[in-house]
Amino acid sequence: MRTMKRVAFLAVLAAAVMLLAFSFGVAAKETITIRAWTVGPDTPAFHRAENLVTAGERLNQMLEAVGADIRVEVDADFWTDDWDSFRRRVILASEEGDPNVVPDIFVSSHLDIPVWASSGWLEPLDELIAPYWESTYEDFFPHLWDSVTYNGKVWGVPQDIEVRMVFYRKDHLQALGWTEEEIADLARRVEEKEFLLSDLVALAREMRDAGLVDYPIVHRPTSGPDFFQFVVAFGGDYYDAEADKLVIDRAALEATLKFFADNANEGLTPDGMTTWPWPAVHRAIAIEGTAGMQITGGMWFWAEWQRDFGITEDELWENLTWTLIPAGNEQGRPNQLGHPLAYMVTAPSRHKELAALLITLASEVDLNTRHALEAAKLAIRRSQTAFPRFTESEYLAEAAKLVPHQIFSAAHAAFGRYTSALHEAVGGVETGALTPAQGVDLIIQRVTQAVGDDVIIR
Amino acid sequence: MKRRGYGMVFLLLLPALLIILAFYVVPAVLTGTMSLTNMDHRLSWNFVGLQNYKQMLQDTILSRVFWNTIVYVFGTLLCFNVTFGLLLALATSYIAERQGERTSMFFRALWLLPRFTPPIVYGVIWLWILDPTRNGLLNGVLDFFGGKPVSWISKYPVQVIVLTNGVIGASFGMILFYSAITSISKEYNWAAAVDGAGWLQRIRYVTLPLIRWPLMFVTAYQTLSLLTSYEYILIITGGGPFYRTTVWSLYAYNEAFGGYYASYRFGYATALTLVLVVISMVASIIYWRVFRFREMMSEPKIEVI
Repeated sequence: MRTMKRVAFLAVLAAAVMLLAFSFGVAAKETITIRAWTVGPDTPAFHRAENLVTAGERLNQMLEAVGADIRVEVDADFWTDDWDSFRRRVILASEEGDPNVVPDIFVSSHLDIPVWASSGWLEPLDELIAPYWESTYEDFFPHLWDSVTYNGKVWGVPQDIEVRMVFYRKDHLQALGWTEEEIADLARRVEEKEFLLSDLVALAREMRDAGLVDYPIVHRPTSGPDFFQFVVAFGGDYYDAEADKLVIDRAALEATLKFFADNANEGLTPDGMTTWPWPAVHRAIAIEGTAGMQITGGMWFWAEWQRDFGITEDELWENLTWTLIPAGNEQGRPNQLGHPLAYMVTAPSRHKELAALLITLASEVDLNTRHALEAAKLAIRRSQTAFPRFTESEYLAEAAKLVPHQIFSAAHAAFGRYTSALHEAVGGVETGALTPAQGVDLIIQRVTQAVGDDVIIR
Repeated sequence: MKRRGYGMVFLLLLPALLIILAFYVVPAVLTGTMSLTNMDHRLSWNFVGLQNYKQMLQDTILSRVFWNTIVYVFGTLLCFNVTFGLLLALATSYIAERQGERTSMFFRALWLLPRFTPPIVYGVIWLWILDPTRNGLLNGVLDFFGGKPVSWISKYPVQVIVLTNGVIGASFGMILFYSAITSISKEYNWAAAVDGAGWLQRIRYVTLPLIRWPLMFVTAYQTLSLLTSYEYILIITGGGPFYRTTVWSLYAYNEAFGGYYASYRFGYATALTLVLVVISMVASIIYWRVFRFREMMSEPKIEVI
């Protein structure tokens, strides 16, 4: 009997404790989950997701300090497949519009903003970030805000920015008799238009004739905005911001396509360059030196080469140097294209204010700097350039010198189509399937299929 | 009684009918309707009449894509899916006769391996084999013998897609032909041998006529299958260089989902797909009539002991 009583007492006690613990647990810690979809695809850029997670941890510390009964859990994933599949995922989810499916935050290209904002998938951020303007966002480089503004509203918070460049194999330059001073002076000569694309081609010939390389000039195999750098180098334009129309500059496009066609005809660029796998391009320029120049390089390659190909930074400094994309002619200018990524808050999100707060915390100087260092990206905030960890990186400091010549992609919904068309035409002229003039016609056909007559053809 | 019999037949057919309705008829009607819109990433049904079909007539790339498709489908079919499949079946049945069933099965299993491999892994293996630099398998071998690296995909694009698809496709024919060959009554071969027929003659006059139906079935089935397949091309060549390997189904896929910023021209892509449906239907009717499939369906054509 006594034993039975004891068992009954213990059972009641256990049930009471469990009930109390359960009810206390719920009351004390309501957890809000914020979900984010972020993209590399370059693997060193994983802090795009990690910084949001850290921001959540910091927010929880603050909440604990003030005794609030709420906690935030950040569920951020990082996409390392290609852009195409990431965008497909975003678009299909956004079109469904279910807040249980669509995350609260996207991190993607600033180029997605015109398409995604005009589709009603994003939340304008002007009011959401206004409370943090003085404390955080005023510190951002002002031109970055232009890249995330569409139809007069801000739709994204700049997450990073980079520069693109031409990489040259230093060892091959030395083998051709270039001195250290001459190599160091190359960037200035390009900037001041003393070294043009025609000189780059002549240099490629020298490397080939000296038997130094198999592939004097390589470029990215896949589509990307990089090819517009050559349109600008040949004195052209691709977007009229005032009229908000794409521009098809026949002369500059034809000169661009002729540049690629001639290089392929002469065997300076492999004629099947657009079918190369990316790793083959990276190995040729950064590891094996079988390529002489990579004319559509990006500063983040520096991180990829170290992380994914196991090469040391010292080896990279020893073997590579870089410049802007040289001018193609008198009317053209040396340049490089920047491609900011941005945090965006989704329209279906149930926690828009909280998402904006997390983005603000993830944009802290130390967090963004760890991303910049790991992924080889530039500063987005003025104070980062004085932040010790940032200034210690010689690479970032050197690459940042190219910033004044930065151009951006067009903030136009059909720019993607234009980009793909230009890449198609490059592939066409390199394989000899198209003449440069036919290539321009193909671009016009592709772009007008997308926007009708709403394009300026010069 | 008769009515009840029909009811039973209908009931038994119902699951199949529902599946065909849900997975063929409804998508086909949706595709047809969608092809009359200019649907993009916003997935809105803006009807534009026959605009997509008019645009197809103006699309300068499409004739190139059409011929690529013909070469790809019939090249793969003739070189691999039927001919090479048949050779494998003959060889493995010969091995079975001489070395026993186990050895034969080993070789057949070997040829089935590509089919068991996930497409992306299979594609990546080929990308390594065909890598344009010395790091690729083929170029590594060339380099060993002092040769210069060859950009295989850009030099031999059509051969590459035929080969890479064919290595997978051959196993389907191999399995069917092998089972058909082993079902042939041995007396025929013995009789032919007694009459002095050699191995090749026995194949020509005994085996081939008796496996005529499986041969025709594989030809018809694989034609339709190849018309809509593009996944290995997408992984290995991406349709390049400059559309040299873009087949109709891949072109439709790219118009819907391809490109750096993705095209999302769902209206145009579905119009392209619908043309493929029509081509497949015409091909089916032609095969049905030319190969007299009605006869094949009516009674068993392979004699089994």
